[in-house]
Amino acid sequence: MSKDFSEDNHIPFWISFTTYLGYGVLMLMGYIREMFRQVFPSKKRSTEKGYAPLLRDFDDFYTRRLYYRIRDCWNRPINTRPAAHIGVMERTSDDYNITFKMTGKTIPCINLSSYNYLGFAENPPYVLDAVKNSIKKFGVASCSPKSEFGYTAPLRKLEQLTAEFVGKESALVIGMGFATNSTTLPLIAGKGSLIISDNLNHASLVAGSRGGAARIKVFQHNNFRQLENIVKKSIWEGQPRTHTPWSRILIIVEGIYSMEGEIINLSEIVAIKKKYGCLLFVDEAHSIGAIGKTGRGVCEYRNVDPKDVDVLMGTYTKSFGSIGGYVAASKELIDMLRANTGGSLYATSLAPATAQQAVSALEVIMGRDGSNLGKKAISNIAENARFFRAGLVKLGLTVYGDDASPVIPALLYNPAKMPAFSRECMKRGLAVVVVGYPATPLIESRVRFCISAGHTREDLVTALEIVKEVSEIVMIRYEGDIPDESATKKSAKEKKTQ
Amino acid sequence: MASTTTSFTREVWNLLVSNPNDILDWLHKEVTGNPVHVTVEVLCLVFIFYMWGMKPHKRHAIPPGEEPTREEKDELIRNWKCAAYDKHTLSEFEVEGEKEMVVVGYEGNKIDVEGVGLCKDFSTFNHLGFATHDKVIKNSLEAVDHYGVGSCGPRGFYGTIQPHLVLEEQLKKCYGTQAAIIYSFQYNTLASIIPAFAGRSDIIVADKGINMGISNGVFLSRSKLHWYDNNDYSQLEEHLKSIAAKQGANPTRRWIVTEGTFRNTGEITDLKKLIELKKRYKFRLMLDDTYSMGVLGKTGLGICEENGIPTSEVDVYVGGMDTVLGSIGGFCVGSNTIVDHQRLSSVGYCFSASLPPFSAVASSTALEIMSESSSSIATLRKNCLTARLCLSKSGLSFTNSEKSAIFHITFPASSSLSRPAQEETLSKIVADLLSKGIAVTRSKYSLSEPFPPKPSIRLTMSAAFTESEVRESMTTICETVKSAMAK
Repeated sequence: MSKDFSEDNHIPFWISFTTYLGYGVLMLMGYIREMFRQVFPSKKRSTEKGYAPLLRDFDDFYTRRLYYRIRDCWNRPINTRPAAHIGVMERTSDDYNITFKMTGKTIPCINLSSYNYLGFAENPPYVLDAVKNSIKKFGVASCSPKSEFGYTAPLRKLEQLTAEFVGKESALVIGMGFATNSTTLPLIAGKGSLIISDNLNHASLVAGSRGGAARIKVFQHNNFRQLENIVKKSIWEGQPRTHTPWSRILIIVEGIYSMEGEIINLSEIVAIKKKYGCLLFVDEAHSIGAIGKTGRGVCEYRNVDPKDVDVLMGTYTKSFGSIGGYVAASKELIDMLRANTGGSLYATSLAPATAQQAVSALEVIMGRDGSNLGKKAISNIAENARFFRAGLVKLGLTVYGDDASPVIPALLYNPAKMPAFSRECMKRGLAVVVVGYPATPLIESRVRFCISAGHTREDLVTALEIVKEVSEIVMIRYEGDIPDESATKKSAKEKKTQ
Repeated sequence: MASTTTSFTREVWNLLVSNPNDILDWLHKEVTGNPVHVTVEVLCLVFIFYMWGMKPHKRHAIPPGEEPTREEKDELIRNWKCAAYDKHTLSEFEVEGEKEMVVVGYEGNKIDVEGVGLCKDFSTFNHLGFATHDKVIKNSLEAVDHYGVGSCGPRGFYGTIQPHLVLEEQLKKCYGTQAAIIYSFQYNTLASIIPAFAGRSDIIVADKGINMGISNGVFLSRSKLHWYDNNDYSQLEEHLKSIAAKQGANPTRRWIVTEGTFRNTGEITDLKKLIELKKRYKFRLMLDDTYSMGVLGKTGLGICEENGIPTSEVDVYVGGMDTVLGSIGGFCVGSNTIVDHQRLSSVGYCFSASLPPFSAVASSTALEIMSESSSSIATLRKNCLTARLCLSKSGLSFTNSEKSAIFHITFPASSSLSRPAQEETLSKIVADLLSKGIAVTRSKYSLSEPFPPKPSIRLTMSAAFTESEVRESMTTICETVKSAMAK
């Protein structure tokens, strides 16, 4: 049973005190070094006369004095495909992480970091052959936008199949997931509209919301009462100053919040949206393909009719091993977007090979390739996620999120534990992702495991053994010793949703 | 620490409880001995109590007293209706009944359009044919075998795959800069970079001709914006002069944002003039040179190479891999400071999946071939000249810049047709040319465009055609356009 994020997240006093103390020491050291630099300025970083400094003071302080010390934990290059096992290229630094040199050695690791939920990075032959044929047939890329000559046959098939898969009338595919949100949201919620956004929403949703003329209000994650109050107040109050009614109110949430590993309680939000007649946008970047009995995402998982969600957005990066994003909605909305969004008018269309990868992956998931590969992948990931999460809970780590989510964050709290955990795991052949401020709250640094259908039981058992060893060294067994029974019992929440 | 706190508390408690007279004596001593100190302390205490007692200031959208009653609120909520998404009504940039072209294959320099057949490609940006080049395809197939398709993560989380590093190293060397960074989508490359270097207190002077991808970035930065007409350097200088004079000795970050070759007009910018102006008035320059690549410069590296100016003179130089390099994605080259900052602060880089490895391999191969053989660039130049000659003879209005491989053919200034009527004529021209086996495109714009350009037919030149093929096709194009515009 992992912690429900919406429950009391009281962080023990000792942990928060020592974490703040850790930051305090780091910042003090940083400031002392800044003062030295004022006295002995570095030629490399001086600004030419007459110009303002290129970077603002605080941005630069955080980067140089905090981030650079532990920079080796991120951007680790690999020289294999991002499958269940990867080869990490070893790097060393002679100048405290300012520059890196490759040693030429490759470290084989179990990969608990890549978004390879259904294991398509393993290159199943059905998909690989189709992709290679499409490169031979269409070339490497289209070099043209969808509105001109970039609308290739695989791209058309992808739009049709995506709409069918998610249960909407029509879909529009854009070559990058981030750009899908940032180029379509300004049109979906235009002038005179209000966006009510979850405070934990992804940067692309924030960029898209700010990119248009709509006003934005934010509600605390999972605080549905606050959401309802904001909706009610916005309706009777109307637009600021003029008090004319809002033309549209759009609620934006995600299917799975990847930093919390949590699956949104969609039925509650749909209830609110139906009661007041608002619109709902769900970003299923992490949930499509990864949850639900047939991989159809959060609507299937929460037994919500896709017709009740106005716009379903998702990406092909995580569960389909490709790149790009889609929005699926009514024909009217998609037609409007197709004619006006930069992602379809000006941007180069999704390359035919990457469209084909997504098409073939969808066919496998839907069982249209004639095999049960898709079914197996969906059941594998559910089982793997449950097994690994239970294993972590048993070790006494503080684990967030829902049992069915393949994204499993475990708390480290202290900033120094991030590099410690990451480096110790790397030494033992386990590739993990650690995240801290600003992606997470200041004192809640965490390690985020991403489970794949491509992981075997042996992989996960080995990984758990490594995590056990490292968690003892780094001292993150905050929940103490867990008796066997409670770790393997299914949570009451799980029973309710199934 | 806990023990000292306890003992202190105990002492104070003892003092208070044991002998009240001692406290009064102490107070008397303080007040007579340090009156100023006591006054200040008392004032502080009063202030603290005042702040504590103050009710939190509630900002009322509607002043209290004018707020609706509960029944009125309920009625407003009951009656409110969200606007539905109605059947799409065409904007002035769209044409009724215009079909979407579906491409079902390619053959040499022709694209196979569904329902039409093979058409000469005068529309895509595949100027040198790298998207369908044998060696590029071979290397891409090998890369797909080895790396799969997607990178399954952002660069920070094991999404950095060896071909990315190879490509960045290659770009750095080609352009002679300190560092290079690649993005997975060209359209929002500069749009991600701008907000990382310009904020609310900064200034951007932008050319009105920039495409919507860049203008989105300029608006997102929330900087103070100044616009100047396309390639109008005197207007640009006026802006720079007045801003520099106003800011004096306390400059904020100031940027000029423009393109090397403008996608929307095909015109080429005067880089020498830009560099001179930016140095004189102490501005920095952001240049998106995507549409000059493969066209300008001896080895196709763009406008800097063409003018013999080192790329490092441009502070933020952006290019694309989805045009001449025949792949997808964008890149930025510059100093270590510029590039390193983007790795943490550019949203399109940090929070987005990295480029598929096979696309990086394709770009690397294309870049290598392009830098080694300048003969195809020379062929492209010749074809552009041939095209220009045909267009001049026909008397049509088209792009002025001589070296551009993008031609926008517009209506003459004297045309009295409305925009929708012009767009409809252009649409008919495109359909007509398609039936004759020539693929060109009508420039399409969004109703979100800040400065929509004039309606135009856009054709891009390719090195894949022989001189006679170009002449023949251009004659057909010119005749078709002329007769349609004359109606």
